[in-house]
Amino acid sequence: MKKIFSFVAVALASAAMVADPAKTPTVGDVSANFDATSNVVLAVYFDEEVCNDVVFVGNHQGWQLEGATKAQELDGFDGWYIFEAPAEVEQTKDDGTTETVALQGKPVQLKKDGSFSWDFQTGDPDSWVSLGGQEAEISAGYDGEANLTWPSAGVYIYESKYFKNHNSPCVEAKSHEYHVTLYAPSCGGFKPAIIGDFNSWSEGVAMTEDMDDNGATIYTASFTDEEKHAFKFKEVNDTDWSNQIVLYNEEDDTSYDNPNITLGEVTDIKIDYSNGTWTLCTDAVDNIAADVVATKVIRDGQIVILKDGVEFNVLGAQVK
Amino acid sequence: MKNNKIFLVASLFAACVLSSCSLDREPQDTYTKTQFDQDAVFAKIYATFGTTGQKGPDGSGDVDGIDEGTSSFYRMFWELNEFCTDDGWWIWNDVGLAEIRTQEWTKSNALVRGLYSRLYFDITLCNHFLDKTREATDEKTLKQIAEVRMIRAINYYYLVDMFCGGPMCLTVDPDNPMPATRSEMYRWLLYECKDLCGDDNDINADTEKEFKAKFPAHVIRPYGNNLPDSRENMYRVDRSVAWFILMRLYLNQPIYASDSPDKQIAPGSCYNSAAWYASRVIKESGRKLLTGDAANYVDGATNADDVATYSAYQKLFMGDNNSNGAQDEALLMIYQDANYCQSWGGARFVINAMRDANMMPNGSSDSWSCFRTSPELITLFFTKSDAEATMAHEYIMPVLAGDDRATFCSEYVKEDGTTSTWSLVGGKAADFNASWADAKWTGIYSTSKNPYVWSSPIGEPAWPDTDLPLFRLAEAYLSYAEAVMQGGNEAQGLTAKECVDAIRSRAHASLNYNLTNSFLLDEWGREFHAEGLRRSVLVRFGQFAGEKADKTWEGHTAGKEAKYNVYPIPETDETANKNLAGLNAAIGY
Repeated sequence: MKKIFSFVAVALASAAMVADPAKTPTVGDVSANFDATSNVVLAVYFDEEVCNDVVFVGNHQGWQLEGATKAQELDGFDGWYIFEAPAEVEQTKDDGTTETVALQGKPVQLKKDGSFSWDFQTGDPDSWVSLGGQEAEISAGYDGEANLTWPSAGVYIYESKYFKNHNSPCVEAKSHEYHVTLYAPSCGGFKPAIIGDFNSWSEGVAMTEDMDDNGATIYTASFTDEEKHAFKFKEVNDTDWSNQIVLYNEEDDTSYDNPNITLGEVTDIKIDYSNGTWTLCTDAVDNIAADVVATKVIRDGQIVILKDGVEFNVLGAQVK
Repeated sequence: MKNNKIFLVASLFAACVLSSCSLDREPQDTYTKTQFDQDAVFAKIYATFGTTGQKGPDGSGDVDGIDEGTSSFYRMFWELNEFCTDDGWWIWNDVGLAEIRTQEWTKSNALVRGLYSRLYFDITLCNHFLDKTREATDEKTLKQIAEVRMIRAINYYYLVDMFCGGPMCLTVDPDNPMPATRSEMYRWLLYECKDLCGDDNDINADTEKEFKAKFPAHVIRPYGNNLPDSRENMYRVDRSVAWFILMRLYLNQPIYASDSPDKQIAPGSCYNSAAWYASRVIKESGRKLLTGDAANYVDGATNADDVATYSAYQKLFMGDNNSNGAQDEALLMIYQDANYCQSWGGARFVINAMRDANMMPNGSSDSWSCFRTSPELITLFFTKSDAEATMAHEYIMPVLAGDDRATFCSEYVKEDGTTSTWSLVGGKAADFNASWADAKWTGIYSTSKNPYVWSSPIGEPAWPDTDLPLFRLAEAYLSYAEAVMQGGNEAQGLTAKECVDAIRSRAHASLNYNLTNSFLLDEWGREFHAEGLRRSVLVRFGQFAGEKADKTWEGHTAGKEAKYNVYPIPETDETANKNLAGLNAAIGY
């Protein structure tokens, strides 16, 4: 499973909990200062460090950070947070009329810099959770993310582990200056470009054409970005997304759709595309056999670069 | 001259009496005694887009009680979507104009009455056709019925966009019609367009019953009687026109489904639907963006041959835009012809209004010098200081701007050395030279290699042949990008960025930009200046009126009252139809 959730009901907590809250609140502890007759009052336990606000986003406020309900810490219960939101939400239908639907939403922890990312949400798309005699439905959203739906007002208590994608929200991402060297055929004035998270996947940064010590054509570029971000090569000033470097899975000879290269600690990145071709290159590259397009393979889910029979990972480190 | 005349304009109706859904009622039985000529009425319905009466260019107008020139469908929605915006400044002091320019109009405004009367005249004509053909079962008539319903829907679209509710006329009826709120009209129109393009899953007996209860004249929709899958010719509607209107409806749903001009409803899933219908227009309509080389012009070679290469963008607005490729970008063209289809509210209007005699030839022997740009439009293409230093005519300007859409003139030197310049003073000055001229529209053919030596054709030299692309495919690209930026799901493998790139690539503009909301608002301005769309866009971006509208431009201060997001129902109709009492008051007019 791509995303790992642990979203556990209080009733089942002893069997399935990952973390162990020192003390679990009761419905009485939670409802004391909240209106559980017309609102959903949700107590959530975060088993990771909370470095910034936690918020509740949902259909009551348009699923945006703006207007999200900020959680309050529950006095006397370390790691527990309370959200309160209306149990019934007026929602616009496709034809512009409105209907009343049940509250749907999810808790999300903000990143250290206060920004909002769906990476740090809670939920388990495959489970039903029964709590205190009431059921909250956990349903998969359109892209597989988990939403929670509450059928009625009341107090709901969850112990949950929030989902972590890569960097914990409490850890500041490391930035490096990355140097990319692309071994690729020369083709007149044509230059490839790099696009990626560092430039919001918009107009690429054209690479500089050069020669290495052996006289092979190389293209180089440098940029600064955070670890775990990604980039790829594309033909410069080209709006057609099909004109990006296509990587092939050598084993089954199928193209690996939209391969991104993920940034890590190694900052000197070398990619061998010397047997590749450029779709837009106007000068024919005669010495490249038509069927030799790929020099990269996907092995165990990783991109492996082949150069002179030696395998490198995308960060330039020799694999074997 | 163009040869593809398609309209047989029949002399049928003399006037539209407002305050009812009826045609001329004097004498009372005109409508019942006049023999119904189906094809002639059908042709007349199409002709309402591009003409104002029974003979061209004037003299037997469709709409009584107002100047015939201000009863044109195209000119009226164009003026009321342009004069009050940052696109330009109308110089002449026609009745009612001053208050449109500065957003201070009232319910007695003559231009508002002109638009309103035109829309309801067209709707009534469509209703007349539909009433008379209700029992028909032959294939030809069923096809005509679908097209007429679509044209009625287009007219209703402008009511939904520019007014806040109004009479709901669905049949010819001498009694005063009952009003619909804006949200009711919006919802009816949404289902009407869905039915017309065959997306009728949402429509069922319950919704029809609901409409019937609300609007007794509502005719239960003839499911399955859909528009043609592809167009017969560029002047006729097909299924993609319904998709296009659905795209606009969904993109603007937060505004259109609200009955208050100061409140937008929560968007729900409307941006998914907007992106979906935009993608259908882009991928399935059979239309394509006209592309080609960038504009090029050999300056100074005023008498030489082969001095000009017109950009694809320029060709969209030229005299032969029915055959130079522009016809494939238009979802629907409005027919204009120097000899056979003249109107003071069509091509002649947009071309002559934006030119004066000191500019390059414009494909018409006339020029009115009455609509110039606002400096704010120019700053979408240049920084202010760069603009002040840029002196060029419209065939050089796109090169200097790095954008084919900068079709402006700031300086022109005639062959005899006479130099004319246009400043960027603006400031509401009643001076055609107080800001640059916009030479986007022209009657010159793209086959002309030297626009400088253009000479009037024999016949009707003042009347251009330029057709009016009422809806352009480019709008679907920008709408798609906007819908996705607003949170809509991507559809059919398109991304927001590649849609904007497609528009900018065609204009040979830089692809190095950050796709933000404010960029997109500006991009709408660059692509669609002087096409009668700007007010709608500014309203949708919350920048036209209301407390949060902080944008300013020539003649416009920030924070205009929210009621100016819509136009009022004309006082004359409000007085005549008691059913409309209170509608204007409810929104502050």
